Amino acid sequence: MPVVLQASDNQQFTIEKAVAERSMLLKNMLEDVGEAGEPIPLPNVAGSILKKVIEYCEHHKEDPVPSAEEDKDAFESSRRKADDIDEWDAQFIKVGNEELFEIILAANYLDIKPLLDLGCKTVANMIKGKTPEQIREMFNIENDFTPEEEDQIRRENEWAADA
Amino acid sequence: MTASLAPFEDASRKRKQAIASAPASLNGASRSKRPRTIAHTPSSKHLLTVQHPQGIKPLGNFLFDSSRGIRECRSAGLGYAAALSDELVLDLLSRLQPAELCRLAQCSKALYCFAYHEDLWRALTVRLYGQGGWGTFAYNWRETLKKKICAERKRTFVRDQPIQVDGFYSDLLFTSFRCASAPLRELCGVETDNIDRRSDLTYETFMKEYGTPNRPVIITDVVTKWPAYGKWSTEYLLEHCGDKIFRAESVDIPFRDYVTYAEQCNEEAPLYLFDKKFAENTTLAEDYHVPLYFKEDFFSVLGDQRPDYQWLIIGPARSGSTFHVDPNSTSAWNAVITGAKKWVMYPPEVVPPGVFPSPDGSEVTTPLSLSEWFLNFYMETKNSPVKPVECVCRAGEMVFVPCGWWHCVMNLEPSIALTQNFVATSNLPSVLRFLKYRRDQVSGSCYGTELYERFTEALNHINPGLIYDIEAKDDIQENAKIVNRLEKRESFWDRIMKSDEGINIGAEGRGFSFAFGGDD
Repeated sequence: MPVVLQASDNQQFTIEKAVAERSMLLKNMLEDVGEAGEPIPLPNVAGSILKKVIEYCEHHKEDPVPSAEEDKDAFESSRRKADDIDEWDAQFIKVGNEELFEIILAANYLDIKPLLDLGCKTVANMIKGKTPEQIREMFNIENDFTPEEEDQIRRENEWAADA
Repeated sequence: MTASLAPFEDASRKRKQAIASAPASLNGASRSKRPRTIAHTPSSKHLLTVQHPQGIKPLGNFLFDSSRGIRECRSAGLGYAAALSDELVLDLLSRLQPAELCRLAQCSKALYCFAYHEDLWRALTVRLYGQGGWGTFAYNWRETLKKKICAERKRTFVRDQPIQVDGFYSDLLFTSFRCASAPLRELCGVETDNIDRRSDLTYETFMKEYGTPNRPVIITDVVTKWPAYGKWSTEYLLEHCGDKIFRAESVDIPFRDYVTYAEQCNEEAPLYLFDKKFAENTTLAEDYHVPLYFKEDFFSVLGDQRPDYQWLIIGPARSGSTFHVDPNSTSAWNAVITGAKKWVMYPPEVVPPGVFPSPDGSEVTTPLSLSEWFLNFYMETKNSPVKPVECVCRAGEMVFVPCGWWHCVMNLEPSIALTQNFVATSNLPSVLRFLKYRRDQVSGSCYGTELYERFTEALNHINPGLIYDIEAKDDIQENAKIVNRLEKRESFWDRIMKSDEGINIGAEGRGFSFAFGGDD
């Protein structure tokens, strides 16, 4: 039986159960309340983001679901390697910077660990090799240090700069 | 103003997520952590007055500050990431290398607060240098890693000088600091001490009053007669095994480096040295002997293939073990050679406040740290129908931890201690039941889920018929109990409420399942 999801802007999406179950939140919810056929409201996720998330879950619906223990181990080891993003995922996550954080937020809320992992890895990769000024611009961050503070923090952190 | 509060409100509702490297689980059950909570109980009020070095404040200060015109700096300072909860921001940052973390810290005050968070630097240091050694611990984890990398890359070392941040509110970051700095004596209720302290006990008296009824007790005249007592100290151990490698949670560390760490560290849940190989790697085991009360130990039939059972335990003040039940339904003794430990113990039938075991007991959800448990849940023990057994076990004393009892232990002072787990006649039935019916929870054994077969084989060889007798008797008793309970339809709660004295605690030591803890 298909599942209907309703985004914060009332947009509705009808998807296969297997797709919805990539989200641990939805999986547990469906197990608890059964399939009532009623739309499931997701007030924390906008339609445009939900569409994107569904696209991800559609593509990965056949992936094996690891057990809790394996999941933890796989997650721990995968988070250490930032470069091993597969090609489809890499194309999928090429989105605007603001949207990237919205996807991370939705992946966290819906409890889709591989998508959260993908989003976070992407942010980590973007930061690599950038100056603080470039990072601020990329992520819309306001510099609120005084010049003296900025200078001090810079000196405290120069040690880690890549050779 | 409501708009700017939104990200904070969102942050406080987030699902649980473990950030700090979790302390090694002692009972083999995996642990998950609960989200941070800030308690505002009267007892913890005086603990709220401490100032964070960077000026980070708990969320509760937001409204008051904004009425004084202080602008919150999280939203603008995080940019697109502002909608993420504090937990999620730290999760994201935990994937970064030192170079990226240092660059982020320079972007804004809010990112500076997040990127300097010690949990991140501890995890990085342990990940990068855990097995090879990070050298001399200096002040905190960030400075330690910085020193190490500066030395490796021949760069100038500049010490951190905290800058003051106004308008940054985070329960997550503040609680971590508060748990690292709250005064231990106030936090842990050291004045409550309701355990029996005994000396000159005959074996029969011990068994009659404590062993068989499965009740905790402190024995005061065993440790004082050990060669270790009065001889062991940090200096003595440095001299004799300074270069030996010991296990501290997930880290293998030369004792010398651990001592520097333990002296300097100032954190919520310090790395705790818990080494099970000291008897092989050092001569320290010659300095103590197992007292008569605990000599009987059926696991010894397995020889050196027995499950892990002896540990040298060393840690600074504030280190310790969060609530757990000892592995494989064993009982234990724990002897303090130097220092002092606060114990809180609950009988098998009672789950401590703030502790949430999964239905099959394979997982325990507890607060992030021992300090956080004391801060948020210790006062609840005063109002619960079953009062815990509490004590401060001091140098020269030994605690008997009966099988199935929940306990947490906080070092009030830097401490050196020894512990051993064992199987006596009194807990053999519950050990057999555990090995047979909770196979996936068996821990510390090279036989894994097959421990039951190997143990019973070895035991039958030495004492044919013993297990048969125990299990036959056990089945009859258990069946009788189950029938009895079904007929009475009486809940555990009913029983507590009916009883004038509360429960007859730990009458039979049957693990921590409600079904087996009856006193009727």
